[in-house]
Order: sequence, then C-alpha cells, then structure tokens
Amino acid sequence: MMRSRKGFLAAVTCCLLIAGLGRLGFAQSARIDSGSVSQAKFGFYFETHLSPGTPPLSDSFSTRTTDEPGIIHRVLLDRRGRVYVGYDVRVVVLPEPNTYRVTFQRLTMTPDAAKEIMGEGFSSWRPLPRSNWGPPATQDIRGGDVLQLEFLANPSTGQQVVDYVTVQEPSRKFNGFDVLPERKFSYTPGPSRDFGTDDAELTIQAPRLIINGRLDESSTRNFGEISGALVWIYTAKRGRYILSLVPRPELGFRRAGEVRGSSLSFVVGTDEFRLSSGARIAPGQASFNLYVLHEPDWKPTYPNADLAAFSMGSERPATWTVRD
Amino acid sequence: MEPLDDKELSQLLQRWESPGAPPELRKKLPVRRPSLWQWLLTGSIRIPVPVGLAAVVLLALWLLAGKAPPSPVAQPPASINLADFQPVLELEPQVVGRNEKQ
Repeated sequence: MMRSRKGFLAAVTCCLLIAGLGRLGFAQSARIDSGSVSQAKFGFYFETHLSPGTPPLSDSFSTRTTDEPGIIHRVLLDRRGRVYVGYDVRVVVLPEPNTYRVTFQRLTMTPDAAKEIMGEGFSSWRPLPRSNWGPPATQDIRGGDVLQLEFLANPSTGQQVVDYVTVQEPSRKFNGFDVLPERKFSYTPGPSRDFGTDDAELTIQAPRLIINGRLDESSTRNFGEISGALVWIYTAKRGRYILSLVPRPELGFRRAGEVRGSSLSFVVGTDEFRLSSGARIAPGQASFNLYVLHEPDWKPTYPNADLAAFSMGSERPATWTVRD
Repeated sequence: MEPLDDKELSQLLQRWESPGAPPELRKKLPVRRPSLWQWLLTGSIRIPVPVGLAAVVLLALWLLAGKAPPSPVAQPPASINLADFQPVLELEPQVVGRNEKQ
C-alpha cells in the first residue's frame, strides 16, 4: 500500500515538474550560436536558435564564420558525422544612410577555407543534401532591423534552425585611446512575459579555478564566456559540476556555496572550489546561494576532447527531464 | 557379596559380552555419503558462534562500504545531430525586429 502510494505521488510529482518545466521552456527556442563580423563600413551580427530547444544538438555540433570583403560565410558543422551546411551573406552599403542590402545565397568555400574550417581531412566531409537554397534572397534593411532566416528543419522532431541577423555599425574596440566594450547582438523571438527567478542566468568569463587551495592550471588557458540558467564546469578526475542560482531540488541540486560578484565558491564532498570570473557572475548587487549538482562520471564526449583540461558549458533547465 | 580381587575381575570381564546396539541407532547412521547436490540443498555447516558473528559484521561493513552514492535524479535529454536536419528549399529572410524610430 505504501509502495503504491509512494509511486502514485512520484508520478504526480513528475507530471507536475515536467509540466512546469514545459511551461518554462519546452516551447522556447535555444540559442546555439552567436557572433559578429566587423568590416570597414558595417558589422554583421547573428544569433542562431534551435526551435524548440528540445532535444538539443549533440556536442559534436559547432559553427564557424569567416569573411572576405562584403561576404560572410556561415558554416554549421557536425564533427562526428563529418557533415556541414551553411550559406553566404553578401552585404552592400546603400547610398541612403544606415541602409544595407543583404543577400543570402549558396555557401561558397575555397579549398583553403574548407581546410581551415574542417581540417586536413576536409575532402571526406559532405554537405547536407539539397543545401543550394535556390535563388539568392535579397532584403534591403535599415541598421538595427532583425532578419529571421529559417534554413534547416527536422521533420521527425518538428525543430527548426533559425538565424536572426542584423547589420549595424562595426564593432570597434578602440575610440582613440579609449577601449570600447564589445558590441553584442541578441534576439529573443516569441511573446514577452514577466521576469521570473528561473530567468536569472549565471555568466562565467575567462574563469580561474582553485580546487582545495591549488590553481587548476588548465583553467588559465580558458578565455571563453558562457551564460545560462545552468552552467557547468568540468575538472579532470572529478567530473562535472552543474551550477544554478535556483534550488531545483527536483533535479537533484543541493545548496553548496555562494556567488559574490565576480567570484563563486562551493564545497562538494571534501573538495572546496573557488572560481573567479572576468565579469560579474550573477545579476543584481546581492550575494546569492549557489546550488550544485555533481556528476562524478561525466566526461566531455566531443571528438579530441582533452579530458585532463578544465572545460565549461551551459545547459537549459527545460532540456532536463526528471528521472522516474 | 565379597569384593572381587583383580584376578577374579579380569576373568569376569573376559566372560562379559557387551549388549548389541539398539535398532533405532542403526537407522540414524547414514546409509551412504550424500551427493554434492544433496549436501548443497539439505546439508548444514556447524560453525563456532564467534566465527559466525565476525562473518556477519564483515558482511555488513562490506555492504555499507560498497553502497553507491545517490545518483542525481536529473538526466539530460538525448541529443540530435546536424545530419537529422534538412535544408529548406528556399531561403526567405523576413524582417522581425523593425526599428521604427530610425
């Protein structure tokens, strides 16, 4: 009787949690790439979304963006399957101020560019079938306009890969002797709603990790930046630690530390972790509790992963499911 | 009755015949050695109490030491690959974030 009642409660809890998670993000798109290319007279900014975000793309997915005067090459790659797909964008500055002609067309790649993007064995890579895209598609836009470009579809999951792009002023790093903050572009589709605690994201930039008082040297070689409601760090022989500002007990998170400005610390078992980031980690001015889920057996699975080196990434809570 | 001296006692003992074993006792004797399977199924081992207690304690310690840590209750979903996608037939960019103030 106890067993069946417990099972019933667990099933109800799972249904409620899954329904709650679904409300938070199952229908939302997931940002899978972003970046910019600055040329003399314009900056091309893009953000790639997977919509809906579940199931996510495997960790063998990556992207590359290269350019030459007036043309940007956007390439999406699957290093495990050795397939790629992409398109070219041609940007022309029009005579009227702050207006641009943007043309999307078939991807062109010189052998040198292919070698740079895919490596020595580039000839064994193959493009996705039927990725010629038909005739070039042209739009005249004003600076700041956002173009939505749906270019891939998965018929079995109903998902789409969508690029949001804009053309603005070039991203400059200096104004005289003044160092300028990097100009970033982001776009979120869908209807707006009120902000909630689950929307709070952690950001880790160029982290330096200290474990039990000793600096993890491999972390000093990481200059990347990640952000998300769930961010994770991987350290050799210890596995992965997923960090959250929100308790998420249904996912197994436990309160283990705190976030203070640009540093965070937590303790799991007998290990004490301290991480300093190149920028503020959490939004707001207060210090916050940090919730951690430890996966001791987790290892990076992407090709040529350095299992001995620090790495980091982010997850979306909506892509996690509650285990039965 | 006069007490017997050693000689008389020795003669008496030589004439004495021990009584036969009762038939019930013979029934209790194993007719033949049980097979390995019979012994495995029905046999028993007598062990001293201290040895048995020590074995129980060691088994309990082994079970506690070997207990796996609680596994996380969350799991990431299965992933998809780029090859699972099909390119659209035509690229059709649409303006979605028109900046009306400019």
